[in-house]
Order: sequence, then structure tokens, then C-alpha cells
Amino acid sequence: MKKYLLKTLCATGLVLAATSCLDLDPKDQLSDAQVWTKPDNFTLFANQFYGWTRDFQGSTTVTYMNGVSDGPHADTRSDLLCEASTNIYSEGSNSILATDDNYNNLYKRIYYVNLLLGRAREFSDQTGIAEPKGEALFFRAYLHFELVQLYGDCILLQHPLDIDSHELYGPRTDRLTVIKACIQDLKDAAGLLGETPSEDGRVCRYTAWALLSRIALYEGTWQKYHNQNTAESQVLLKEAVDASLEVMGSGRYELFSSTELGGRDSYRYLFVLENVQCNPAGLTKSANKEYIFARRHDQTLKPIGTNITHGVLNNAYYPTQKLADMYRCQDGLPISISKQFQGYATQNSEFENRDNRMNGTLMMQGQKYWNNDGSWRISWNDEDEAEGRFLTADRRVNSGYANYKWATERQVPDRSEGYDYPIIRYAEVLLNYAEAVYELNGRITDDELDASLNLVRRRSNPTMTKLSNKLVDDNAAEGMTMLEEIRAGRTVELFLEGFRIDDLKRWKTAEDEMPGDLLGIQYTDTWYESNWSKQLRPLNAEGRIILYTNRKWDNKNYLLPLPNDETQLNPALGQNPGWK
Amino acid sequence: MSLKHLKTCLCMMLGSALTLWGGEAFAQQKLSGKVIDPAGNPVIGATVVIDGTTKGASTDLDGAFSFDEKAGTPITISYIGYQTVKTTLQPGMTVQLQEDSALLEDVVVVGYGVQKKETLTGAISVVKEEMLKDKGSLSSPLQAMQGQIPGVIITRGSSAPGDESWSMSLRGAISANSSEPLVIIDGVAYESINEMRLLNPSDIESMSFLKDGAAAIYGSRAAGGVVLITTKKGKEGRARVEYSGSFSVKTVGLMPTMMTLDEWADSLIQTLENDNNTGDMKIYTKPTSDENYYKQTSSKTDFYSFSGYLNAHHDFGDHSLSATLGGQYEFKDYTYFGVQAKNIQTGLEIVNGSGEITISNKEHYQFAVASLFGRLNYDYRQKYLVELNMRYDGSSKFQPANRWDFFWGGSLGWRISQEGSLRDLDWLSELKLRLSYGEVGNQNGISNYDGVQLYKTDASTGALVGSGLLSTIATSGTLASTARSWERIKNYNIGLDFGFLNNRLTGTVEAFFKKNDNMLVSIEFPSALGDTPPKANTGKFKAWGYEGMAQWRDKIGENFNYFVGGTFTFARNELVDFGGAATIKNGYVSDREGYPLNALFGLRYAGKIQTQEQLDAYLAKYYPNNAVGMPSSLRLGDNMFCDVNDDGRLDEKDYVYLGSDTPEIQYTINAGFEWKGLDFQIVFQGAANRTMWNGINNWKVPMRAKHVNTTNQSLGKVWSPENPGGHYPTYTLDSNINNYNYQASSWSASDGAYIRLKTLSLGYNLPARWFAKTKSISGCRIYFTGSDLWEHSNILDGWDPEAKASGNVKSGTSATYRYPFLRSYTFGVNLTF
Repeated sequence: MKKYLLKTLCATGLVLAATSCLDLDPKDQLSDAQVWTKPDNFTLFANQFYGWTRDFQGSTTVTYMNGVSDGPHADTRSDLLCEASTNIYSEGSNSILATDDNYNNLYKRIYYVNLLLGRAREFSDQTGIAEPKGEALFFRAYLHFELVQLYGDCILLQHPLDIDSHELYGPRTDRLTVIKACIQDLKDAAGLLGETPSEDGRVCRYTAWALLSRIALYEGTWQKYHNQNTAESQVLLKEAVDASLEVMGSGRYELFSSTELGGRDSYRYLFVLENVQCNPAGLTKSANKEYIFARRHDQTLKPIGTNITHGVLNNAYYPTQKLADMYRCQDGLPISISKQFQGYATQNSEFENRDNRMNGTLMMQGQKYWNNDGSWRISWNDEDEAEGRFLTADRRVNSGYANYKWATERQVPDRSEGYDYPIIRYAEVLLNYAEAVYELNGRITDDELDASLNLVRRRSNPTMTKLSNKLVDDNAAEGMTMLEEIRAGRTVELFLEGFRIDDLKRWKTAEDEMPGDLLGIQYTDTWYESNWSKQLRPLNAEGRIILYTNRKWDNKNYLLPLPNDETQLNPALGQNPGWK
Repeated sequence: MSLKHLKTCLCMMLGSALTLWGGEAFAQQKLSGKVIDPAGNPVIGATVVIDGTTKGASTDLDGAFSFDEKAGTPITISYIGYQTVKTTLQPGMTVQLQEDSALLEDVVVVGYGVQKKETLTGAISVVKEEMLKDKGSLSSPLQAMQGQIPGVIITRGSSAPGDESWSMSLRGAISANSSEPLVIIDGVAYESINEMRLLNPSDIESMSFLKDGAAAIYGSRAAGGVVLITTKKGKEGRARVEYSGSFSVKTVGLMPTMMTLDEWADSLIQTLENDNNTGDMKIYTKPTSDENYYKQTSSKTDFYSFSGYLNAHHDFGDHSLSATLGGQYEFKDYTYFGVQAKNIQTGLEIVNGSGEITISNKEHYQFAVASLFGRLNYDYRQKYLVELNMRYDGSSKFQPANRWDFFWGGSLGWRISQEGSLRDLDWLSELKLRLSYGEVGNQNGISNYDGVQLYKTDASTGALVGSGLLSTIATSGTLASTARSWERIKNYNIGLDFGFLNNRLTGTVEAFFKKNDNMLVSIEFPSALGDTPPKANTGKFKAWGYEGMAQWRDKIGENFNYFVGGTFTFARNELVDFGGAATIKNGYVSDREGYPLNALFGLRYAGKIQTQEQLDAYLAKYYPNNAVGMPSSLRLGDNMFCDVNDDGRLDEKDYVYLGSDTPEIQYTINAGFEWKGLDFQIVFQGAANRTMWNGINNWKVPMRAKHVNTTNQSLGKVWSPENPGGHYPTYTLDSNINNYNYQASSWSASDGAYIRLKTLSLGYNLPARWFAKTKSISGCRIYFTGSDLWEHSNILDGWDPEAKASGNVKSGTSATYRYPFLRSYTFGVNLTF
């Protein structure tokens, strides 16, 4: 009996002791309790946010991240650019998707941002985590702004959800409320972030102000033109003005410019700056004080990863007539009015006396140029030309206009280029300021223009006539307006950076600009008629090349449709107007 | 009264007092005896007990025992395997024990203990070492048992040496999450079925398969049933040395044959003509080299188990009660990591490389289970039997709030053959009716640290910030779950064991039904949730079937023993509720409600396009808006498919159910005889109710890729205007046409039923007297065994019907990575010293 008693006691004791040995902690992954214990971990968690911004090609599936490759913001979906095959968004024939990677990933990322902010609330050392908190608030605004641009109304989330949250099955939040929340988040972020980024590539308080100017201008003009909501749009436009002034007043940023390079090439080489020789003046990224927030690249550490130079050069993208005709002449007047415009008759007559940015973006017939693996720069001076080391541009292909913005001239393997992508640059902030002031007040003073738009104009065109009220008034009879000048100045500066289609949508001019045929160069009665026999595309009544026709734009196209899987799971979301 | 009288009285009183007092001393003499076995050898360690006392002794090395008792004291002598003898103590006695053959077979290992077969109420099948003997070299004990135990479905995936991917399931699946049986070897739970291949089959003494509620004593891990393996232990007695040597020849079994160079060249030319492809084609013969790399991995498993249990047994007259109670704690620690380096020096034999070095798949987890368990058995006159199993399990996987759960099972048995009048029937030896119900748990589908949000760390893979790439911490991608628990399966079973004609005809029939009402399934949530939600217990699943075995064993004359028998298993499952509508796809799917797992869906075949009019009509009607990949370039001789729902469109609504990849029926037939030392055995094994579809790959689709060879099953069977009955469409390189023709359909799927000659074994025990002179060898057997010698199946392309279908992307093996199964011929010798 005794030995049975002993055994029973042993067994029972063992089991009771063992029950406490059922509390095990994970060994190869961190648990919630272990992560949110020190400021470093908050920073490490926030580090993933920097992979969510726009880039040349951020992703092949999560396309909101594409500034150059096709995506909701890309110029290929606008009236300035097209490609070899039809772009169904540009054409107005896109349909409801079964599932949308942009929608899914934006909300997944919003969840992570809210997770950090939620855990941050309970953390003891608030000053120690100021930067990650600021970054989280910045990105919460960034991501919600993406949702508003793509889908309009969307569910606003300011805390992490779980499976029984009522927001999952609730209606969308009205877009104005969402934007106001974004603006508040950016103001809070500006309060938390430092004067300068703690590391190259991180955000600082001026990044937040710069993004605020973009968001407020976007929604301010949307509310003004789509909803005629004057009260709200005034508030928003004022926010945009104030935010831009914060950035302009910081003294930290200036437009990239080099007298050695000259106007046209200051614009052009800005976009391909690297830390090895990439322009004749030998300037590197350290000379760039214009990029406020950039997705940084480097040939060895983080190459661009997509075939950027070859992808944009020459016959890969077809710029349209709309873009080419938008560049003003050196007298500051549009070509329809200016006496300086030389017409289309000869090879390059349309390029004469034009804004330098035209030739800084589009190549002239017979122009010498370089690329990364056909013929590249070696001595970066006239010797390259003397030695015959160059390519000759021949734009007798496709639209007749040949883009070379974003193309590098140094030898580097495809996909390994290392220039940074400007997520936000100073020129945009100046243009935001000018437009916001005008939309807010109905007019803009010459001083205000000189502090903003004219700086941008003069960076590329040191001697071009400035935009001024007198210039506009003198030519108002011919149809010149200040608004059009501001808008055109913005468009030619920010071409191929992912702004055009969003601008057309917020101005509510897409319905005018998009449905028209996409046209190339003037063919009939020009040098090209006799020298480009292989041009087989049809011509329009004026003798211009027709690239795409039969395009349409319905009201519904101002917003993307919500995907089917989401509307089925949550019927309260509704659907954007016009989409079934 | 005289003084003499008084003295006598006193003396008598004193004497009797003395006698009473020291009576034992006077009668004290050591009485000894000896116990021998039927062969006359001493029985060592037999138990001799004085009846009515606790005094007992064991026989020594000479079989001798002795007591200080007087002659005539009743004693009981017992030893396992022999009939117990009740006799009286006599000086110099010799007791010869008789073998109790009935008892030997009657002991069955059940969870935490043993029970007699007669009073068993659960559905438990037993395999003794005989089934594993003399089968040649086995890669896993499962190989010898395939198909031979009712309810135990054993399949193998490939013939890769050392890793045939054997899998075993007791009565089929019970959940969309895996539900493998729990394998316990000598009380220690093993990782998985696959680990059994590390066991030496000749070390196994017996295996018990707990198929129904009897497994409930294993609680949370018993959903797939339990396999208890007992290995041989040392016995007291003379040392025995056994030698067994064998020589095996293995040849490849069923395998597709590749085309010869001429056949391939002709086929290629034909293909190019079909595609209107003119001109020459360049063929490269030298492959280019890849980026080479070296990968080294290391893994370590620590396993600790503490358990203890008590047994108690009590008889009250006709009632008998026994109880078992115990506790157990198990702890497992598993570590795994790998290092990969690129650009290696190929001459070195250790991980090296000058290129990129990465740490690949690092893993380290721990897992613990603590339990209390118990069993209660009651029987009345060994006729009416009741058993109750209970288990209270706690697992480290869950948060403390939902960590513990209670599982139980109960069973009843009625030995009909013991009822009054039936007892005397000489043709009825055994008839037992069994009924059982149990609730068991499935521990799969739950992560090791459920209820805890986990995060992963990545070093230097983020955006370029500062001077390098950012390191990040991010969530694991799945939300933590706080409200889920084990799947709970309800097991119903009814069975009948029978034995007729003095146990010459024995067998069992059973029917079972299993229900899983809280299966873990993924649920779709709106994207606003963020991370992927965890699986929830909202699915429903059921399975049912029946099984049986029967055997006739008899002798003709004195020396000829023979037996004939068979087993049969039928198991079908059905996914009742998967938590939401799944998109309809073709191929193998396991998410269609109302159908089993691994169900094949595809179009119904409607014949080949024979004429141009047919082609034009078919394209005109079905090409627009089709969702089955029909290309506009369809030609004569290509397949046509039925518009099953008659809506004028060929799309996913026209998919029909074509069968399942898991065979629903398995059966064996075995027979054998013994005659004067010669023994012979033959086993046929087969399966039915299975549909195989091997997907679209270079061997299934002839001439799919122009740069590799293909198999020859299509030669001579290709459609052409002269051969309108040809089974295969004309060759083409156009992948649109090939993908359309060979998609899952009643044409491309084949019946996976087969029967195979599994084992043929012939052996001869050389007569003992030949070795008597050597005084060392006591037995010698020579034998020949052949495995997988012949089969018959309906598969057209030469593949083994047992291999998993390569079209089943989730669990099948790719066609080009499979090893074909081997036929083996073994000659061997067993010597006992």
C-alpha cells in the first residue's frame, strides 16, 4: 500500500507542477510583450513604412506606388503620354476588378501604422518614441490620401481593428472628413518630427508640411470644382498656403541649379543625379537640396530595379502633342499667342524659342544623346562628341516626340541605375503655393509669383519672361488667363512624375481633356511628310498623327471602382457612382 | 482424581500448549519442488503462491522452489503463457505446466495498460510480429501491413530511397486540416508517421491501432486515431542469438517509357506540321550552368516525457471492476536553421562561398502538454462489458483561458456467445457486439503560440536610408486568435466480432461515423481588418464507412495447416461547411461544400471534333465568353466538352465532380499454408473508388515542349482523319491548345483502381534433428519473398496507380521528381542459436 501511496503522490505532484510549465514563450519570433518594450523596437517597426512610398516602379501589383511605370498616378493614364498598347484607364474602358491589390495593401499598411500608434499610447517614454510616432502619423496621412485619390470616400481608421470591430461592416467615411483627419495627423507629425531628418531618407517636419500642402490643395480644388463647396475649399486652400509657407520659410530647400550646366540641363540632370559622375559639371547627390522626401537608390546597395533608362527613352513612351504644345515660349506666352513660335514646318522649328524644359524633356531631331549601354559618356565634355561617342536622336517613330527625361548618360547595367525618386520635391511645393494662393484669393500678386512659380520657371530658363499680372492682362484678349498659366507651369515641370491625371481629376477638366484623340506631331506640310515615309498611322483633319482614338470619359472615371470581393463582404461600402 | 491423572492432564495440556505454541516448529521442514515446461525444461521465474496468504516465491534457475510449509498446503503455480496450476504442496514434487495458447493471443496493448481481447469493447486492431517477419528488407513497418488491417489505410507517395513518404490514416480524413494518427512507441509520442521508417521491423513486438472512442484516453491529439507500438523487451531465460541474412534484387516496377530518338523526331516533325511551323529549328545540347550555392542545415529535437499511472483491479463475485488513473507531462524543443552561401569552391565539402551568405529558414519552438487521464472497466461475468475513458488535457499552445479541455469515450460490449444456451453451441465460439462513442481532439491547424501576436525581424532588407538598408520588425502577417480551441471530433462505432466452428472462421465487421462540428477554417474578412485573420472553429466535416475482416484457418490431416482471409475498408468523407463560398475552380480542390477532400472537378468530355462543320459550329457556339481557356485556334481532333447546365456557355458552372484522389475502398486477399516445415503465403492488395488526374506536364502532354523528350503512351493512338478513334488529340506546341485539351475533365482523368500482388512468400524450416549434433544451432529457415510482383490497373500512361496524383498540387508529387516503385525479390536465411 505504501508504495502505491508514494507513486500516487509523485504522479499528482508532477502533474500539478507541470501545469505551470505550460506557459511557454516563442523562441524564433518576438511576441507582442517583447516588441513594444524599447524605443529602438518602435523605430525598427516604423522602418517598414519607408517601403510603402511612390517609386519609379514600387511594385508590379501594388501599383499606387508607381510614379513612372503604369499605375493609378502614372502619366500613361493621362493625356500626355501613351504606349504601344492601349491603356484601358486612359481610354475610359476599365471595369470593376474582382480583387484590388491597391485596396488590400493600403488597408493592411494602415493597420500596421495604427498598431504602432496604439502601442505607443501605452509606452512610458513618449519623448524617446517621438520620431517613430511622427513617422506613423505621416504615413497614416499618406496612405489615407492614397485611398481618397483612388476611391473617394473610404473607411477612416485611427486604431487597429480586430475581427469583431464594427468598422469592418460599416459605411465609408466621407472624403472631406478623411482629408481633415490626414491634415491633423500631418500637423501632429510636424510637431513630433525634428527640423532635419535623423538619417538621409527619413521624414522631418518639413516633409509633413510639404505633404500637407499637396493634400490640402488636392482636396481644396476637388471640393471647389466638384462640389462647389466654397466654405470648405477656402479652409483647405488656406491650409495649403500656410503649409507651403512653412516649407518655403525653413530655408532648408532650394531648387537645383548650376550655371555650368545651364538652364535646360539643370532641369535634366537633376533627375539622374548619382554619387558617381553623371553630368558634365560633376555634381552629385550632395548638391541636391531640392528633394524633400526621396526614395533613395544606389547602384550597389539598392538599384532602381526596373529598366528605367531604356524604358523611357525614345520609342518606349510616346509623348503627345498636348505635352509638346504646352511649353510656353521664351516671351512667356503660349504658342497660340506668341510671335516667337516658329511653327512645325521644319525638323525642329517647334522647339525654337521655347521653354528650355521642352528640350530638357523631349529630344530634337538629330540631337546628340547618350544612354547607359549603347553609347555612354566617357569624358563628359566635347571630346565625347569629337570622338564620335554619341547617339543621334531620330524621332521618326511612333508619336514623333522622343522623351529622355529620367534617362542616364553614364554606363551602368540595365536596372542598376541609382538615382533617387523624388516623392516630394521643392518645386512642387512652390507650385502648390502659387496655385493655392490663386484658387483661394482669385488672384495672385507678382511678389507671390516671384516667390514661387517664377523661381521654378527661372531655374530652367534664366532669361525667360516671368509670369506676371501685366503679362496676363496684356494678352487676356487673346485668351490668356492666370489660372491656365499656373496650371501649365505646373504640368510642364512635373511631367512623368505622377501628377497629371490626378490634377485633371481635381480640376474637373478630365472630361474635357481626356476623351480627345491622342495625337503626335504635325505631319502634313512639314519636313516629316517628306522624310518619314514609314509613318503609317492615320492622320487627323489637320494632318497630325493619330495615336489613339475612340476614347471616352464618363463621370464615373473620376474614381476607381471598389473591387467585387470587398463590396460582397461588406455591402455597406456601397459603390462609387456610375459603377454597377 | 489421582495424581497420575492430574499429571497426564497437565502433560496433555502442556503438550497441546506446546503443540499449539510451537506447532509450526515441530512441523518445520523445507518442502521443495520443481516446475518444468511441456518440453521438460525448467521454468525460471514462475510464481508459486500459498493460497489464502501473501506468501509466495519465484522459481530459480533450475525451476525449483521451496517453502517451510507442511505437506498438503494448497498452492497456486502460475507463469505467463501457461495455464495456472492449483495443487497441494508435496515434498519433491514436480509440476509440468501446459501452454495456454488461448491466453497468449488474448492480451492487447491499449492506452496505458493491457486488456484481454475477450473483454475489449473498443475498435482495436492488433498486429503481431508475425506480420512483419520474413518480408525481406522493409523500408518501413508500414510496408508489410499495407491493406491488411481493416480501417488502416496505408499509402506511399514515392519510392525515394530512405524516404518513401509513407502515410497512414485510420478510417480516412476527419478534417480539412491534417489529422494524422498519433504514433506512440513504448509510451513516447513520435513526430509523425514518417518517423516510423526509422524503426527496425524486427524490433516490434506488437502494434495496436485504436480506431474509435477507445483513443479518447489520448484526448486532444487522438482525432486521427492512435497507434501504439511495443518493442521487444528482454525475457528471462537462456540467451538467444538470431542471425538473419538476405539477398535482394530490386527491379523497377511500373514506369512510363520515354520515346526513342526516332519516335521523338517523328512526333516533333508532326507537331511542327500541325502548327504550320516552317523552317529549321536549332537544338541546344549543352546546358548552361547555374549560380551554384552550398546549403547546410541543422536540426535538433529534444523530447522529455514524464508519466505515471496506477492500475487497480477488484472482483466482487460475478462483478469485476478495474480502474486506471494517471498523469503525464511532455515537453518538446525543436531547433532548425540553415546557412546558404553562393559562389562556392566545388572541391570543398563544407559550407563555403565568396558570394552572398544568407541565413535560411530559422526555426525554434517549444511545445508542452500536461494531462490527467483515467479509465474505468466493469464487467459482469465477462459477459456484459462497460468501459469509460477520460482525459483532461492542457496544452502550451493556448492562452491560459482556453488551455484545458476534457475528452472522454465510453463503450459497451455484449458477449452474446456467453449467454446461457448459446454457450453450449459447439459451432459458435465467439460472438461479441460492441458499441462505442468518444470525443477526441485534433491538435493540427493551431500554431505553437496561439493567442499571441508574433513578429518577425528582417535584417537589412528594407529601404535605403542613411548608409544602408533598413532592418525591420513587422508582424508575422496573421492576427492572433483568442477564441479558438481544438477541433472536437465525435466518433460513433458499432462492431461485431465473431468466431465460428471452433474459431476456424474468425472475423470482425464494423461501421463508423465521425463528425467534426468545429473544424478550423479560414474566413474572409474585409481588407480593412489589416492582417490575415486566424482560422476559426466554424467549419463542419463528416466521415463514415465500414470495414471488416474474415479469416478461415483449418488443417487437413495432421500436417497441413492452411488459411484464407481478407480485409475490406470503405471510408468516405464530406466537407459540410467550409465557412463561406469558395470560388469554383477545376482540378483538385478541398474546399467545395458537399464534396470530399481532394475532390477532382472538371468538364465532361463530349468526343473529338471530327469534321470542319463540327469545328465551326462548336467554336461559333462556345468560343465567345468561354471561361475554360478555349482558344480560337482549335483544330480537328481536339476535344469537345459538354455544356452541362445548358446555358450556352462553357464556364466554371459546367464543372462536374469526377471523384477523389484518396481511394475510398481498400482491400486485401491473403492465403497461405504450412506443411511439414514448408510455409507459403500470398497477399493481394487493391484499392478502388479513386480518380487520378496528373495535371499538365511534359510527360502527360506529348510534345508540350519542343526541347525535352516525352513519354510514349500516345504513339499510335493519336487522332487523325484516318484514325478517328484516336484517343489523343493531334500534337501541337501551342500551349493554349494543350492547356485546353488536357485540363481536368472526364477525358484526362483516369480511374485509379488497381489490384496488385503485394507479397509472395515461400519458406522452409529445416528439420531440427539436422542440427541436433551441432548443439548450437536450434533452428534454421530459408525463404524467398517477392514484393509488388504484379499489378493490374486502368492507368494509360505507365505510372504506378498508387503514387499520388501529380495534378494534386497540394499533396501530390511532381511527375519528374518521382521515383518509380520497385519490385523486390529477396532470398534469406534465419538461424537461431
